[in-house]
Amino acid sequence: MTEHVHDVAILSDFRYPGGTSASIAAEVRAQARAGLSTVLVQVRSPHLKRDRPFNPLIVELLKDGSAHLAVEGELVRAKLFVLRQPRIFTADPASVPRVAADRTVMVLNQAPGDAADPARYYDFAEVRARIEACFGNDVEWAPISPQVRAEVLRSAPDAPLSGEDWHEIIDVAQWWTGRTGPAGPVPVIGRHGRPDPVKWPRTTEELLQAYPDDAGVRVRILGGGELAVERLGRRPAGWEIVEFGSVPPREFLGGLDFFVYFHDPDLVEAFGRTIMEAMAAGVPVLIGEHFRPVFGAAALYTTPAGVLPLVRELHADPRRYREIAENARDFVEDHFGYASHLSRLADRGVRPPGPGTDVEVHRPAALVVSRRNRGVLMVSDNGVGLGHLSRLMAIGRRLPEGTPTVIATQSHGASVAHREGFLTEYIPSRSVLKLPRQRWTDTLRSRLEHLIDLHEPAVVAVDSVPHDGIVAAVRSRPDVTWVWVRRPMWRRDTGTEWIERGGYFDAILEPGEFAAAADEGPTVTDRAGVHTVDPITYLDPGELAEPVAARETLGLEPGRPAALLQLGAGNINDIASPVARIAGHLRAAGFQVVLAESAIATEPMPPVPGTHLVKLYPISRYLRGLDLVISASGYNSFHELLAFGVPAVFVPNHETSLDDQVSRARFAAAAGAALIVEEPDGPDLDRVLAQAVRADVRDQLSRRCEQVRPGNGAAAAARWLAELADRRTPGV
Amino acid sequence: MPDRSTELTDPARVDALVVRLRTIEQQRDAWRSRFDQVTGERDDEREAIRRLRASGSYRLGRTLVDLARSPLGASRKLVRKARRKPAQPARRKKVAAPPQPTHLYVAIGLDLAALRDFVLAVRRRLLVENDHRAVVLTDEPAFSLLRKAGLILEYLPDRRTWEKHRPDRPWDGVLAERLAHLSRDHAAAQVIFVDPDAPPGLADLLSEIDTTPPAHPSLPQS
Repeated sequence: MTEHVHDVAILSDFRYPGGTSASIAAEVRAQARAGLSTVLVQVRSPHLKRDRPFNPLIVELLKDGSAHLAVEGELVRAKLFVLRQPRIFTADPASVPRVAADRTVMVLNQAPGDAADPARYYDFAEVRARIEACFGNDVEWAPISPQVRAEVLRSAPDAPLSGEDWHEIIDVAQWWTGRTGPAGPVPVIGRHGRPDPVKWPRTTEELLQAYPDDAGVRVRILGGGELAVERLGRRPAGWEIVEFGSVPPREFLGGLDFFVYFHDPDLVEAFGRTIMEAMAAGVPVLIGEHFRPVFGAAALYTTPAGVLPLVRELHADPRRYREIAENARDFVEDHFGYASHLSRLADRGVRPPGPGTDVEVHRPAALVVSRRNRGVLMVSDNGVGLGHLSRLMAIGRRLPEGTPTVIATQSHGASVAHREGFLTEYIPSRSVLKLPRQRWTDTLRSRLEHLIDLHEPAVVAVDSVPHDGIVAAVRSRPDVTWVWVRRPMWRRDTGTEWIERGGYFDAILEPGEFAAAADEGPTVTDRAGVHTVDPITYLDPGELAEPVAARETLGLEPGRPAALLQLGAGNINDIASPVARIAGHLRAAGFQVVLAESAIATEPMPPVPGTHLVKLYPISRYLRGLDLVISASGYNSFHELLAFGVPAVFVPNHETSLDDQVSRARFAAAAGAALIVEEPDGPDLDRVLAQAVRADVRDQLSRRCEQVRPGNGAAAAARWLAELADRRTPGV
Repeated sequence: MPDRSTELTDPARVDALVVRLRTIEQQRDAWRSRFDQVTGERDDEREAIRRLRASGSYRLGRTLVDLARSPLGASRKLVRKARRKPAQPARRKKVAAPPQPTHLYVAIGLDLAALRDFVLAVRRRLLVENDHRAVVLTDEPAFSLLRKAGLILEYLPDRRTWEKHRPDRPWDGVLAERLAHLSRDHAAAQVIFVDPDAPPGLADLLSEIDTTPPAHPSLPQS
C-alpha cells in the first residue's frame, strides 16, 4: 500500500528466540543509527509451529520506531532486500510477500547440516529453488562464516556463494566493560549460551579439562550448566551455574576472566556470536582451532587439555592479559563493528542520507486508551457484490417522501448506500466474523433485533435467503411486517429449503424477470400469494445521462465506437483472463474499451492494455454513451441493458449458487435481444464478438430491445411497501 | 391429441424451449462428468478399504476376534508380533486453544486515511503478538475499503448523517447503546477509545506488551 522506498527490507521469522533475531536487531540498530530506514517482513518458519510472539528485541525496534513492520499483502519497496534464515524456506510460504527491491541477499546464517548429516536442517538446492521462485533468480547467497560456507559447499558444491561472508555485527561500545585485568586472585572461567547438549564437549574427560574441577579456578556457566552436570553425574565444587535468562550476558561477562568455549565435535557452529560478545566485553577467549577463520589472531586457540595451563599463564601476566583483551576488542570493532555493516550496505547501493536529508522517523502519538413515522428497514446480504443492495436501494429511493428508510447490509457496498443518501447500517457477514453456524445465527438475530429496536420500522424488507438468524428475528419481532424480496430465476433444483421458509414472512415481493418463461427454479411453483412487480432497475430511462455527457464522464473520444466490459464483481470467479481477450478483440475492431471496476474494489483491476477503468455508481446512468456492453447476466445489469436498449453480449457466470445467469442470458439470446458467450475460454468468444462489433447487428439488437423492453417495477414495489408500512403505523 | 399450435407460435414459449434444450444438453454433459467422478470415487474407496485393512485399529479388531475364536493360536501370534515391532507411543490428543479475548477499538471521528493508518497499526500489532481479536468500530462510511486488513470492522453512521435522518434520537445515546451491544456480541474483554486527534501507532499499541530487556540477547543461531 505504501509507495515509500525503504533502504533495507529484512525478511525473516521474527519469533525466533535466539541468534537470528539478535542479529537482525543488531543490523536494524546499526541502520537506524546511520539514518537508514528498515522494513521488516514477517514470514512464519515451518519449524516454529507453536504460536509465539515476536522476539522482545524485535518488539523494541518497532516500539522505538527503528523499524517499520509490513502487513500481509503490503507491497514493500526497498533498495536492498535481506532474507535471513534459510530454514524458513524449507516449505512453501503461506503467501509470498510482495517485495520490490534493487538487490536481494539471502543470508545463510545456519549450516544445512552437521558432521553426521549434511542436510539435517535444510536442503540447499530445495531452499534455493523455492526462494528463486518467490523472488527471482538474481539473489546473492551470503554465508555468515567460513564454517557455513564450507558446509553449504559440502552439501551443494555448485552453490553460487558470494565472495564475502555476511558476518555477524555487534555494537562494541555497548559491550565494552573497560576492565584492565583479571578481576581477582582466582581465575574465573566461564561461558554463556543456549542450553543444548551439543554445545558441550562430548566426553566427561574433555568437559572437565575445559571447565576444570580444580580448587585453583572457578567456573561460571550461564545457560546449559545443568546439562553438563547431568553428563558428569555430579556438580563440581568450583562450579557456579547461573540460570539461563536470569542475568544479561554483558553483566555475566563482566564477572569472567576467561571465556572458554568447547562443544560437541559434530556441531557446526554457524558463527560463534557468544565468542564475539566476550571479545567485545574485553574477556580473553580460549576456543578450538576451527574458529580461527572467523576470529583470526584475536582469540587464543587451544584444546580442552590446554585450557588450564593457558589460563594460569595469562592470569599471572596482567600486561599480556590486557594486550589480548584490547586486541580482541579492536579486532571485533574493525571486523564486526557497525561500520562494517554500513560498508557492506554501501557496496550494495544503500548509503546513509547526507546532511540535510529528511529521515523518516515513525514516532506516533500516545494511545488514549418517540413517536415518529414508522418506515422501512431494508436488509440485504452478500459480500463483495452489489446486486441485492442495488435492488433494495432501487425500491428505497422511490418510497414516498418522509418514509424513514434504513439500509442494513452485509455487503461491503454499505459506503455506496451511504453515498446514495441512505441512513446505512452494516452487519458483518458470517465469513467476516468467521463464526460457526449457531453463533452466527445468534449474532444475526441479535443484530436485527437491535436495529429494529433502534429504527422502529413498520416493515422489514429482506433481500436475502432466509438464514436461520433472519428467521429467528422474524419470530422474535412479530410486531413488524416482514417481507421477503425474493428475486426469481433460481437454478433448477436448488434452494427448495429456502422456499419452505417463505411461510415465516408476512409477505413475499417478487421482482419481475424478463426471462421468466425460461425460469425452472423453485420460485415458479411458489407464486401463490406472492406480490409481483415488473423487473426492478435502479434508474428509470429518464434518469440516464445524454450520450454526449455520458461519453464525457466515461472519458471517451467522440466519433469512435465504445464498449464497456462489466463481468461482475470478481469475487465469484476469475474475471481477469477473458477481459484481456475481449478487450483485444474490441480494440482490433476499432472500439474504445472501458472497464467497469466495482464501486467498492479495494485494489484497482490489473491493467489491460488499450483500456481505461471507470469506477462509477450507478454505471447504468452512462449506458447511452456506449455502443456495446459485454456483461455478466446478473439480474440488475441484465435488466438495465435490455430496458435501456443497449446492445449487449452476455457472459453468464456459471458459478453462482442460486441465480441462473445462464438461462437468463440464453433466453435473451433466443429472443434476439442480446448475444451470449457461454464459454469465454473457447472459440465461442471470437465468433460472437465478431458479430457484436458489426453496426448492423447492434442496431438489430437495439431494435429488438425496444420491442421487448421490460418496465421498471421499483416504484410499484415502493408503493406496496409504503402501504404495508402505513397499515402498521397507528393513526395513518 | 392436444392442439399445440398456439403454444408453438408464442415466441416467448419457443425461446424458453430453446433454453430448455440447451439446459438439457448441459445436464447430459454434467452427468457424463459425474459418471467419471463417481468412478474415481469408487477407486478411492477401494484404496481407503485397503488402507483400513492395513491400519492398527483394524488389525487390533481382527486380533481380538481371533483371540475370541482361538485364544491359544492368537496369543502365539501376538507374542511373535510384539517381538518383531516395538509398540508405538499413544498419540496425544489435541486440545482446542481457548478463544482469544476481543478488544473493541472505538475509532470514531477518523477519516479514511487516519482509519487506514490505525487499522494497519493494529494489524501490525497483532502480527507482533497475536494475543487478541480486534474489532474496530468506525463512523467512516468508506470503511469497507479496509476490509482486506484482516480485522473485523463495525460501523455506526456518523453524527452528522445520523442527526440528518434521526433528529429525534441523540447520536451519543445511540453510540452508547451500540457499544453495549457490540461489547456483548463480541464478548469484548476491553473497550479502547481511540483519540481521533492522535490515533495510536504501532509503537503505542505495543506499549502494553512486556518487553523487559531480554536477559539473553546473544543466543547462538536458533
